[in-house]
Amino acid sequence: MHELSLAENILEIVEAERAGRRFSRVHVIRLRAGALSGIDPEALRLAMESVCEGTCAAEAAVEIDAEPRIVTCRRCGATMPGDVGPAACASCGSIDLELAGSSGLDIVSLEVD
Amino acid sequence: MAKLPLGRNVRGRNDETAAENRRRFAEARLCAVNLLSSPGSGKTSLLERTAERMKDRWRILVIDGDVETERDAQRLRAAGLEAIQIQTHGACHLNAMMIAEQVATVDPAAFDLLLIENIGNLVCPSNYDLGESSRVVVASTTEGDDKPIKYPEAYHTADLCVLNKVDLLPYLPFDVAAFEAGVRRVKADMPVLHTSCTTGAGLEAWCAWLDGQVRATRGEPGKS
Repeated sequence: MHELSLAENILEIVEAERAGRRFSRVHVIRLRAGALSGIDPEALRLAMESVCEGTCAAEAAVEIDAEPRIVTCRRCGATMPGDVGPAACASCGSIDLELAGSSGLDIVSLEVD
Repeated sequence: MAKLPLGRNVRGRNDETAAENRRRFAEARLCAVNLLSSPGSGKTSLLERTAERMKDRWRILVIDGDVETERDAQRLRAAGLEAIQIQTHGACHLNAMMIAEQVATVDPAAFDLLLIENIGNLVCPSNYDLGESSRVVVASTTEGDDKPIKYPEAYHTADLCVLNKVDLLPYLPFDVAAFEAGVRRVKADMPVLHTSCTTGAGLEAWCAWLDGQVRATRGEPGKS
């Protein structure tokens, strides 16, 4: 549900850019979501649709580049996808695994005219 | 059509306000601890027990976040703490602006320890820095032992994990070793304290940890 407040933050930033750079419409909003950003891309798209209604970004496509979660084995250094979290290292069987990723959410770029 | 590279942090306003809160807390030598958990893990009970043990030692302020009602703040006032209730009326997390607004109503230097009880939610509060000096994730044995790997954001950003309701372990299928392996995976070397607000188990260790946080903020050496 925090996607709604994030969508409001995104629109605030877009509107501030519009004031400074004088564009009239936003076609694409490109975002990067860190693996530990806690973002549900679908919920964020839905929130953007509702928040941006009647604004310069009403028609904007929201592209979200979501970084995958990666798990690293502390014993042998192997890396593996970590979405739900493997029980043990696929390579050496150790359960001493570490999840890594960024918690950031950034607006990478806008396409406007 | 033109492409504008931005590279802007979406949570920028929150993060700037959090940095400002952190500066104010440091100036007032106020130790701020942000408590995260699912609903029903026992955060408020833990704070009531903390009040019994620590209110004569340190001047404690609680900022309590809930979607609705003043109930938690009332409980904590009854336990002898000064408590401010934030009702978010729907919002699922506290943000740095809400904390700044409440801190402006008090003299931060009149307190040693600020305990922020976040909204019961393991997803949304994780990525909102409030300006705290440390963050605690409270889990309980009535939840699944796989919570740390299911909600890694909350555990990854915490400095301490408290596993509460350990008095119920004999009656539950909760696997403590699996839980702790999950915690380690998400955050290497995070200490895990076992507590029970019913029996009082582990509360000394919890208060000793808090005591260390307050002393570190005040620049005092820890107890030997």
